Amino acid sequence: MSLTVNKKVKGKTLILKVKGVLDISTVHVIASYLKEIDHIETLIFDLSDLELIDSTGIGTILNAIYLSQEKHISN
Amino acid sequence: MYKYRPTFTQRERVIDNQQIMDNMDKTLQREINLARNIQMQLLNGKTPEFEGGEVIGSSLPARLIGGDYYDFYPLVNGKIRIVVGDVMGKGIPAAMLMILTRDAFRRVAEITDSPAETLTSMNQALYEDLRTLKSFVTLICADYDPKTGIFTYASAGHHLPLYINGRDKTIKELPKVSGIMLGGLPDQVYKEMSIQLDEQDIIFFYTDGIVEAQNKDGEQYKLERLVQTLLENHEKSVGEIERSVMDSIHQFTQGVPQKDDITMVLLKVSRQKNGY
Repeated sequence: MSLTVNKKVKGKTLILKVKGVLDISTVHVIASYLKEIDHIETLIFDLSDLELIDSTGIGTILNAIYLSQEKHISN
Repeated sequence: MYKYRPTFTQRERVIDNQQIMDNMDKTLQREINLARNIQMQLLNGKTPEFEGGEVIGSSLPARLIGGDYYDFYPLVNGKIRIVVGDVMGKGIPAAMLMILTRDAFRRVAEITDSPAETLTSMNQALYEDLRTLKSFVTLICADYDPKTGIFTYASAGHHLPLYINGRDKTIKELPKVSGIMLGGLPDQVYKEMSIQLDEQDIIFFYTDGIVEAQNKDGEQYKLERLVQTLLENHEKSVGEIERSVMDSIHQFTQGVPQKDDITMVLLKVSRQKNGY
């Protein structure tokens, strides 16, 4: 049960393609990518290859939205 | 001869450090067990007895301590307020938030007129804390009026309970009512729905730990197995139905440690024998 994140930067847009399991054991992986959003204008999560998400994973996505709002990043 | 003394002292220090670590482990274990006892006592408090129906609830944490929550609150107007919820995360952090949620429910239950108002007030009370703690809680809150049989419910991001019709022996989800999880957005006003319950009807509240319980092959228990178990046992008392569901889950999982807490609450209408 693992999570891989494929990161793409297109101009001022950061795309995080998340594959595998986003749960309590893997959310720290996303957290490390969210430290890099200071200089972007748009954050996109591609969850099309996500196999499973638990409540902690949903919380991490919510936090990414809150963080984006604080930094005036669209998502 | 004294050249070897420092080595011996170092060894002593290693042993001392190991003893300190062992003592810390024992202390931590003892405190976790005490916390578990507190949580289980709060969860398994007095189940209300009332004319016109029966209720029961049970919760099985995946770890020593869980983040699921259910509660009953008999209102002074004779209705029974029921709440079932799932706190984000697992273990001790989720348990701490579960206690926070329980406190909010108990404080607002009597001063709010309906399940939707209860959720609105709870979100108002908890939003800042949950946002600060980067967490959220899904809840379903409902009132059952034993005198009229009217069941009113509201959801804060929790899936809807199952409704078992005692007359035609069918099971379906309650009509949809939407609402975001507590801690999701500020100043939410929740909506509610009502249905008329009849004799032998059952409302089955549950958390996702039931349908997502896994066996050794990684297969999930799923809604279909739950529905089948409820159909086979719906004529029994709520206590017997609860045990049947738990037995069915245990038979399916075969002792495989679960990732999520398993919680259910049952409400069964039995108005005729009580003269309503």
